[in-house]
Amino acid sequence: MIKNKALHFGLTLSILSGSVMAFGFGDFAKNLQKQAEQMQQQMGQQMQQPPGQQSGNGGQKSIFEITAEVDKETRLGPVGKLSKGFEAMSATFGAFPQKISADDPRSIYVGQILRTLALAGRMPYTYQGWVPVLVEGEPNAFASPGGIVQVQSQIFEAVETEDELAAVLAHEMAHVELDATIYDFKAKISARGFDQITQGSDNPNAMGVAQASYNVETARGFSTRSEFEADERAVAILHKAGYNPFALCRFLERFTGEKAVSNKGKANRWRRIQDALGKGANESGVGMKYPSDRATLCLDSVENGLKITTGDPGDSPKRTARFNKIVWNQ
Amino acid sequence: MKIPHAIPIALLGCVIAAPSFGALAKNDRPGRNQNWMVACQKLPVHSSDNGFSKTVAILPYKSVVTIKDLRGKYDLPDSQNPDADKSPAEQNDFLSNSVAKDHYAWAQITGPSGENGYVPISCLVNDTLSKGPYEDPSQIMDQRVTLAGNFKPTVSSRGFSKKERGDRVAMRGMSPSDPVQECSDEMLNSESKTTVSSRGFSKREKGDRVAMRGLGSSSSDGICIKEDYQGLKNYIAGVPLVTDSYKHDYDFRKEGGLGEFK
Repeated sequence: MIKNKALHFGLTLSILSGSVMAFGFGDFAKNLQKQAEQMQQQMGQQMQQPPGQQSGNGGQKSIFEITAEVDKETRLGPVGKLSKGFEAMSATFGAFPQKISADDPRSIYVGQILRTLALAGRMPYTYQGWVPVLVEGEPNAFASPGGIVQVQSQIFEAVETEDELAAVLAHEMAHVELDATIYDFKAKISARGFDQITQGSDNPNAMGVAQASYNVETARGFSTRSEFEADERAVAILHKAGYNPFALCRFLERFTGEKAVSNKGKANRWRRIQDALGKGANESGVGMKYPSDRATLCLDSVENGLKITTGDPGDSPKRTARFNKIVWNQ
Repeated sequence: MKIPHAIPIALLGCVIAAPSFGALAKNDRPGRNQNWMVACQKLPVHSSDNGFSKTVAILPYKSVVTIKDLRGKYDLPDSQNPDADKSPAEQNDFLSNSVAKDHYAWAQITGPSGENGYVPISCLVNDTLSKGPYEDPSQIMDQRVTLAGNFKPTVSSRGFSKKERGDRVAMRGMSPSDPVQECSDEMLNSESKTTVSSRGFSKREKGDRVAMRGLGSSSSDGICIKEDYQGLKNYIAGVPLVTDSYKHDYDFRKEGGLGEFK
């Protein structure tokens, strides 16, 4: 019952806070914060940590202290992002015992593609440049803040051309550009902070605040919407770099088993985006977090977003030959 | 439900959400005639607001540049745009106009030795950011490696329900600072089995394998997480640092008809 109440509160608050957020963050935000502080006082003990877990002023950690901590931890420049990215990537790196040397031709090749894509993006350079990390493993790729990109070796089997390989890397790069991991990190530490506040309490109001905060940040982190946005951004990066943006859609068709439907028009595209939004913040898990017709959305991003309506021209034979030579020694 | 509580909580929600826009906050956004600092190890200065334009200089870390103009305007994606779900009428509401809407990828700058050109804003920080946490390069890896000490393999988890925790493990093993638990022997054994690359299976099989792992995501897909700071540090140390990728990869782009050769 309480959980249902909290969820209902969460939903309401997401909408309400979304409206309030649009008001801006200058003097208005300061006034808003004052009002919120007054209201927090009115809410008294409901929003405070339980005894034994208190800290700071008089042993009480306020909602604003937690918010300030979250802010401090996540407002990062290139060095901070690399630091966080290094921390995050150490886990995925550690999970795969067999590494592929940095001077392996495939590692060098991935680095060249990454840097070419980066020059086309909004983040051409990171603190120490885009770093390819190759390991033996099932087909997958990860990117972390600061530009460390881990590629698992069987990705070379899953893609058929350099353009498709670039498409996978562009998707990962888009997540870095869009700060998905930072937002996801923020969602987690927000949630943890509010877990502390609500610990031992059945107060649905406090739980609602936690839920609202978590929803906002998670939607910006890794959600159905952000996955779609990463695909959308990826096709733009590919196009600007000179790669075939259709390569991503083609690749998605192959691995989802879905046939992309061409040129369904803006309204239909919007409906699909709305569908994706509906699944938004609270969805997670592989398979759940992606839009259901991801290949079609990709095609719409190319046709309606990039205004390329001539159909897939196919990938450059020169680049495909290069891919086969470097990866398969053919 | 007590309605009076809904409003204060909405306001609190706003305060919580406000730092999400840290990157958009007024003092975190570059403006003309401001001095900003280079926060990348080496920053190429380009001849135009395009990564495929020639590089005219390389600025070292901590160089102070003066911003003359901003270029490369772009829109935020829907998930980061508070106006995204609003009707056009709502978007035109005067109150909405105070939200930072203009975002730029490039800055036209003058460098400390009179260098003129364009640099990506992502490599610049202002006074606030330069004093933020982790902005000391020495902390990037060494501190983490020291702290790691005798690490134990772990599985990520967070703090909600067990069901939800399972979802998060499947999806977000990458995020830093998750509370952790040790991996089971079963997980460790399964993860230690790495497969050797072969090109022998069918496209259908490839598709299935890819779909199972969530390719193209940033997910760890339930893998057993074993932080290896020292190993990653050593690996990265072996990757050549490419400062000027415009020059370094010129032939690669030319051969592939990419960038300025497309």
